[in-house]
Amino acid sequence: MNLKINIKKQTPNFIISINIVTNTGIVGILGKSGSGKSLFLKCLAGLEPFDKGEIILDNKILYNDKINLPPQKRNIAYMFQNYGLFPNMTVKKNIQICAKVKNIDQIISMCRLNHLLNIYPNKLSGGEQQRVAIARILASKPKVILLDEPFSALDVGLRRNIEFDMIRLLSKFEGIVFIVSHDKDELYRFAQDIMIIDNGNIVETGKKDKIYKNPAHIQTAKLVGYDNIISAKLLNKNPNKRICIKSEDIKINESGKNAAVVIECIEDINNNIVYIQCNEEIIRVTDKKYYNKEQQVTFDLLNFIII
Amino acid sequence: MHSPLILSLQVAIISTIFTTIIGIFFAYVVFRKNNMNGIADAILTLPMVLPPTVIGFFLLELFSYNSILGRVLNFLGISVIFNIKGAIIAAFIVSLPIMYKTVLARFISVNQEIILSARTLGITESVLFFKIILPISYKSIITGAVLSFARSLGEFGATIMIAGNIPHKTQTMSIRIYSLIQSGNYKEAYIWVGVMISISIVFMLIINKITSIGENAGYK
Repeated sequence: MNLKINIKKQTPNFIISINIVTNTGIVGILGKSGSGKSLFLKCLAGLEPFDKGEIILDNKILYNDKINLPPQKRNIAYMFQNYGLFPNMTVKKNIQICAKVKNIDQIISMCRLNHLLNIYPNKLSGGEQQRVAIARILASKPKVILLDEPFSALDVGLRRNIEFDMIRLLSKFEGIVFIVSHDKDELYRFAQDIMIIDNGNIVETGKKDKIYKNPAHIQTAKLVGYDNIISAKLLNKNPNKRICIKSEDIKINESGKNAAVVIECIEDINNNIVYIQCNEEIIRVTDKKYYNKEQQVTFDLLNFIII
Repeated sequence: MHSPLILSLQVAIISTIFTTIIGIFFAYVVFRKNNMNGIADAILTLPMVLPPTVIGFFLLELFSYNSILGRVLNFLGISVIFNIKGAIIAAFIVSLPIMYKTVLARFISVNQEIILSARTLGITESVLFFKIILPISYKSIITGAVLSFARSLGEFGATIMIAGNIPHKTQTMSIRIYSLIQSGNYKEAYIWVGVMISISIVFMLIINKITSIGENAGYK
């Protein structure tokens, strides 16, 4: 399966300009709130108009200058944050009404919904609602599935179990999946490829390991967990470059190469969060020990990248 | 020979049937077409704010034997003026905005995620409307219909202008009450007032009952 997307849309804050080609698999879209992630998915599904561009799915034109297929004819299913289940229909009817496959029983048992078929959506738990939403999508036989913050409506404690269900179900899907989230860890578990969006533009795209371990852009580094972005002057390198370091990759020890002073120490469950100042930079470090304010410390950088 | 009660019920029932169907239709059209809904909404709401006499005047002009429509209807053997049909049209016009507004408000409040997911799941617009939007909006539709019925039942100003005050032909309950008071027959007027109040109370109770049913169903 092959999807070519080229979308341009003017929004009040920025211009969305996305041009990618993607094949079967799960693509994670990571970006901060309001970066245009959801809007991009809506344009793709035909729920939001855009100014110009082209969408071609398996040689079928979904959108260009002359053609603009309605959402019904695009074969692109969208799962909303609150799932949009039909409240007047039981679980079974919710699935049936969308079904383009002959046998929905297989989907029902795959999504573990056998015991819930005659229940109305408002009586289901968040996780169950999500399984119905996925069953409904699979029954509609889409080529592309769009998941917009699929876990944001669920309690944090429940997410892990439900994530497992979702990963299992999506791994059997033979199409393209786009999953939008601002949770980097969640996306890493789901996706094979990652696309970083900022202000409506693709900053970086590639295999997840490359993006997470070796980001090429500052925005990417920030989004994938490099919480310290400081001037390369610290290591006597080109001051126009930036050093990106995760707080857990900084070690406070007695014989560290760099001197700093503690400005704040916040207690946390596993590791305390220590803010230290070195030259003009404030650096966030996680450490088991508690440090007093204005304590002199030295530290080493265990792992970092320079962009 | 028809009593004012039968005439009033006849007018209200027939006009409510039309109001319900056409009110839902217009509400859906306005709901779907955002670009035109300012003007369309103003026109559809107009009968609610205009005095019934003004509506009656327009209807008289529209259906008079001098107008094109009046002539066409006359040719077809249909007379509207000084006829029960006129009373039904008047009741329909004044009650349409009630139905339209009630249902439109409901359509607008339907959770967008329901509508948009349905579309991306390949559900056609007609299935979406008849099997999803309409059933979720049933309470508002019934409320709108009952209120329209009550409004039709009590319609006076536009009705008297277009259908007149002909006993046993166009004299509905509200017109009968007017006539009785004019002629000083307060005793019978009280009876009809009692009938009207009773019917209205029954309908309000019905609405309350319906709107409380499934309050916990969580329809959004």
